[in-house]
Amino acid sequence: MTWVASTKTWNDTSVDNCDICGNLIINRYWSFTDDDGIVMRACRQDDEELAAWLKDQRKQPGYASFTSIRR
Amino acid sequence: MSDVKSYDNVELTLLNQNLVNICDEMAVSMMRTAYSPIFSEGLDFSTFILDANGDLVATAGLNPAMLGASLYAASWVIAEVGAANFNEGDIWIYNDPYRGGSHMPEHMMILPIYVDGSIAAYVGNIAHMAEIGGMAAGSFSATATDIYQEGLRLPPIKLFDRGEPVKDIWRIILANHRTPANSWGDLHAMLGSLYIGERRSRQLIEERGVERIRISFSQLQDFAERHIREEIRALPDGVYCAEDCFDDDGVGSGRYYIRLTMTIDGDRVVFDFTDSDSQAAGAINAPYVVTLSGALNGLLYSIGRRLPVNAGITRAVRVVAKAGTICNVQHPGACVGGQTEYQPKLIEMISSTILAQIGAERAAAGSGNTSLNFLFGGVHPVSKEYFAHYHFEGNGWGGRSATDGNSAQIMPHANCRNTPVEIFETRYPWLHHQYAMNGGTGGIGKYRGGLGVKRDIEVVGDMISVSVLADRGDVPPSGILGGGDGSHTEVLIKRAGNSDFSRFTVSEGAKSATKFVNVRLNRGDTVRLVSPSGGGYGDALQRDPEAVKEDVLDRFITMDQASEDYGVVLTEELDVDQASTEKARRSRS
Ligand SMILES: [Zn+2]
Repeated sequence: MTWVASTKTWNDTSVDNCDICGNLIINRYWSFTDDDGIVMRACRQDDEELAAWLKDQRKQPGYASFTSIRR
Repeated sequence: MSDVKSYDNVELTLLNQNLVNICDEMAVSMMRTAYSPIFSEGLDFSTFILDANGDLVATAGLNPAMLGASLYAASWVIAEVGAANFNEGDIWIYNDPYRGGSHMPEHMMILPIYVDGSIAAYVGNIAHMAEIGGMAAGSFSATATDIYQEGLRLPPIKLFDRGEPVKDIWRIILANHRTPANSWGDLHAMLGSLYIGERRSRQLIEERGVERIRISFSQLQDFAERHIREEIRALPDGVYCAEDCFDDDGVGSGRYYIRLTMTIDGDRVVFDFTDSDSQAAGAINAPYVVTLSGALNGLLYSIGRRLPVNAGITRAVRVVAKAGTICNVQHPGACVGGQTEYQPKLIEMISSTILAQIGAERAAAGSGNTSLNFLFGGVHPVSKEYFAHYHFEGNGWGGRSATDGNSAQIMPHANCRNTPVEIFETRYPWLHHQYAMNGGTGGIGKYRGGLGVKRDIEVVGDMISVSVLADRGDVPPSGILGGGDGSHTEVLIKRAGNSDFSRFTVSEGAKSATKFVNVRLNRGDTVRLVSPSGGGYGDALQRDPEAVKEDVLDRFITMDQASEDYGVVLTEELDVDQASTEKARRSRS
């Protein structure tokens, strides 16, 4: 759990995205290991809490339950 | 702790209005000085003021579709470039959708305002340029399968360095646009708008002092945060789900689904798009900032009618959109259609589907929700100059809890204006044969869906190359609470000498009826654009019979529809036959 510098050389125009929310990672990222032992790169520190919250939410009944009206 | 006095609420309100007025003046300047109708007529741009950190302080109430870019992208660019790398007189430009651009035609410019040698604020604008190269004239490449087919991509670069134009950059940009004279004029309209914003903002900052302005900007953002948290807290906590889909991606793949799980948790909202489809091969994907924009706009449409729009509102919201999905396109995915086709769907998923789960009185039926982007280019028969134009069409909005849907209006998230017939016919070789409300197609309901339009235009030059990026060709806007569905998009062609219109899939071999590029039309060929009509709200048998009568008089519906759909019987004089109507409705309820 630490901030890691993520600077790019001037000739690298690519971007990186947060493993949790998808946001851009600019200049640095928050590195942490999740419950499954996977190392995550997050755009902000509180994404660690968001990741745990999402994992818990996704187990709840009714979460991501889509009644399709357009199939 | 600063000893500079903070503002009270009255002063803050006045300051906020002052800042918004500066943004409005920047916008008027852009409108009046632009070369392209997309600026001067369409108003497809935004203007804004940022604090010294790059966080939004104020914006003109123009194009909500650009809200995400105004709120987030400028600060990302400033973070990436680094404030230390700005100089007084610099102007930065970029349009890269992978780092905060909404789609490539929309270019953002940022100018730092220096006071006493330090950056006190930034002014910026975003504008949709009509032509930026790529595979299709008008740079809306509906069949693009990568970003390189969509035009010239600019990471954050300097257009002006310490007040001097960076000529090499200008030459690269102008050499890659099909209509460089227009680009030159439109870029200068953006510059003029920035200079006005800079002058007015500098005056304001110098009058009040840098430190006091810094504190007041922060107070304004805190106020917006408090306000939006109060509004969110007033909504019932819960988990709400919605989905919508694209007909296709323009290159032969089937439907693509956007799926949102929205959690209201006290005074914050989490928008989770994890269950959406993977990134499409075609150009319907959304950059992350467009998903941010759609989520915020959907929320604001639902709650925040008098909310100051600045960076404070983002603090109560989290958006989860995994990279590589249709909601967060990754390099080299194409994405020009995300801003115009995906964002309105997303807004409607929140402000209609989800709001109906929370409280029907606030919800609306489905709207047309396609920009029906119609692009064309060619050599003008009189001036002999190359032209290109981007037109979007009005459509029907959904009925609401107290009123019918608006007719023939650009989608709310864009808030733009279409191309007037006069512009079509004086600047480009088109002739109108029809531009009308598409009567009989609004979704039936207690409150009827608004009507789309039907437009027939004939080529009166030697050749025009046309492209279309639209949606809702298969799935019409939904009715809610018993209301009927609206109608779907149609784009048709009648070649010179033919008597009937047909789909571009049939006539021209396009893979999609609503997404194709570079179809060469010749003199005498006619295109028909039919935009969708909105869905209806509530039971049609509860519609006020007088409103049904008015619809017949306006030719929005026929006598037969009045009777069959609404159970309203009209006399020969077109008055409501009350007794027969009551009887007809009783027998059907
Ligand atoms: Zn993140």
